[in-house]
Amino acid sequence: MAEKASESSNSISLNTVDGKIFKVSPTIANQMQTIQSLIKAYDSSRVISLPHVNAFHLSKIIEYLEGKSATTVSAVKEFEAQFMKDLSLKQLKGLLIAVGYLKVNELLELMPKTVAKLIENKSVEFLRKFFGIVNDFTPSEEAKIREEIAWAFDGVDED
Amino acid sequence: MKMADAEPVLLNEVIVEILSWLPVKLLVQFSCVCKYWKSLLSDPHFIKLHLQKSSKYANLILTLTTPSARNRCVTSCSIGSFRQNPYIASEHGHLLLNCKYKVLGSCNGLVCLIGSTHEDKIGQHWVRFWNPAIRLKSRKSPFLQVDLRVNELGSTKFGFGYDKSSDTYKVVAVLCNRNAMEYSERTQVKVYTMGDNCWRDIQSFPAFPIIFRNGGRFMNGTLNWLAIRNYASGCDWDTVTIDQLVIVSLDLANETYTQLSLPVDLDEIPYVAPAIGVFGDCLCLFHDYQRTNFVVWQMKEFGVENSWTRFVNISYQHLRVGGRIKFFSLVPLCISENGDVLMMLNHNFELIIYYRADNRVERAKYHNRVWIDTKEHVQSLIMPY
Repeated sequence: MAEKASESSNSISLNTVDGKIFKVSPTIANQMQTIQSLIKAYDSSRVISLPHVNAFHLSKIIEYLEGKSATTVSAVKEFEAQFMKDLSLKQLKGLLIAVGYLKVNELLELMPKTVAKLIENKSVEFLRKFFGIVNDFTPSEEAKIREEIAWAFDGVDED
Repeated sequence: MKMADAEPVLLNEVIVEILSWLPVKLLVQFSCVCKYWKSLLSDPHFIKLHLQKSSKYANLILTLTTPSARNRCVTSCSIGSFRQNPYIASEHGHLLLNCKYKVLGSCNGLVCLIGSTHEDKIGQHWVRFWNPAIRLKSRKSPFLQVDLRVNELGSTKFGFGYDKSSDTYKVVAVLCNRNAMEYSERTQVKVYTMGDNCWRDIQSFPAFPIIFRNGGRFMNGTLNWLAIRNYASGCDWDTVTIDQLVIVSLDLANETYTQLSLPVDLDEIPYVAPAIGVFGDCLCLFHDYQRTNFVVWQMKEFGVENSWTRFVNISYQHLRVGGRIKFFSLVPLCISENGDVLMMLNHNFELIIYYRADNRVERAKYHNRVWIDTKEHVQSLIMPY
């Protein structure tokens, strides 16, 4: 009980881009490298504002950091699989941007594989839009490359 | 890489990490997204990052030959799809080889093909490297000439592997002369490094390689051959004793040899020479036991002699393998990823599927009589030169 009280008095307040305040324990906050370095710079009473991170993202990140401390390896695996199961590709991208900004290393390792699986059947055009990439090939350059790699396109579905 | 607008985007490192999980064929497709993505296909750092991930998915390189055909067809597939449908499996890039070529081995996605011809008592060998995933094949290596009056036909043994210390791929040839009186002349060992222009000599073998079914098997930076210690000039298998058998392991980094003992429980000399292979990421030893059983050992931890574990011990009767030369007629093809299933081929072109857990045997017969050879394989972007 005493421990709980001291934990809450040490808790760190995080303000998301959509104006929601989260109070997290130092144990959780320290697993976000960006917060860790901000705590050192700020005095502990201040609320830390997070650009690029909305309430949904932060709640998912906290859910992960709390849940992954499950007792057994198989329970952790099960939790990790469940954690991303219901997220759309768009949600995963937003979450991954937040995770990249906050530097939550475990999620940075875990999430790319899931995203990779979901983009496997996507078209080149979809990927440019999804990753926000400008096509820097001239039309003739692109046509030439597509011709060279035509073999890799057998059986590709449109998205 | 230019970004389209001010909307927050993924960090470049994160995108690279995502891409490193994709199969090669998709990376090639996606190379027309932008110049940066195209450049990743030949970026050494990305190629290594991708290989780390793809090494977790075991594939096979299959060589299919029909008794009548002069050509061989080489293709790759996953162990899973081979199990489900062993005779169609062909997902990435077929290669039709003429009868001069054989698949020597596969390492980090590169397949080493060995070509051989002989004329007027001179044998010629050369290699080519092929990456089936990116459909690229190297030119021929320089020729290795063998005097067949000294080194009989079929007695030159090859191996293919990767030397991490120099980041190079090496082919090793062991030229054997079983009749040489001087020990140092029994074997001559040559190394060809991918991209070089010659076969260079290294120290000769510390024992005499067993000729039967025995190419060098690559494991943990070493090539391994089954060999006979203190071999008496010209002698036959009948006179070899169990304590003479050894695995000679050539470290590809410093090109020196070590010797590994066989399982201590293997206490009598098998009727025919055993063979070794690499299956399920373990060095395996196959041998006949008293002409009644087929035995497979796995060296669970490579280089640790007391980690030899008996993997299976099955009677030929249970496998329904007949004939006089039962051991010769069984060719192990693969072990499933979880280690539960062993697949073999018999002399009748029948596939034998053995389930370890319940000691069950299944057989699948193929109407076109196809002989198969398999090597474990991964997909990679490594350039074959």
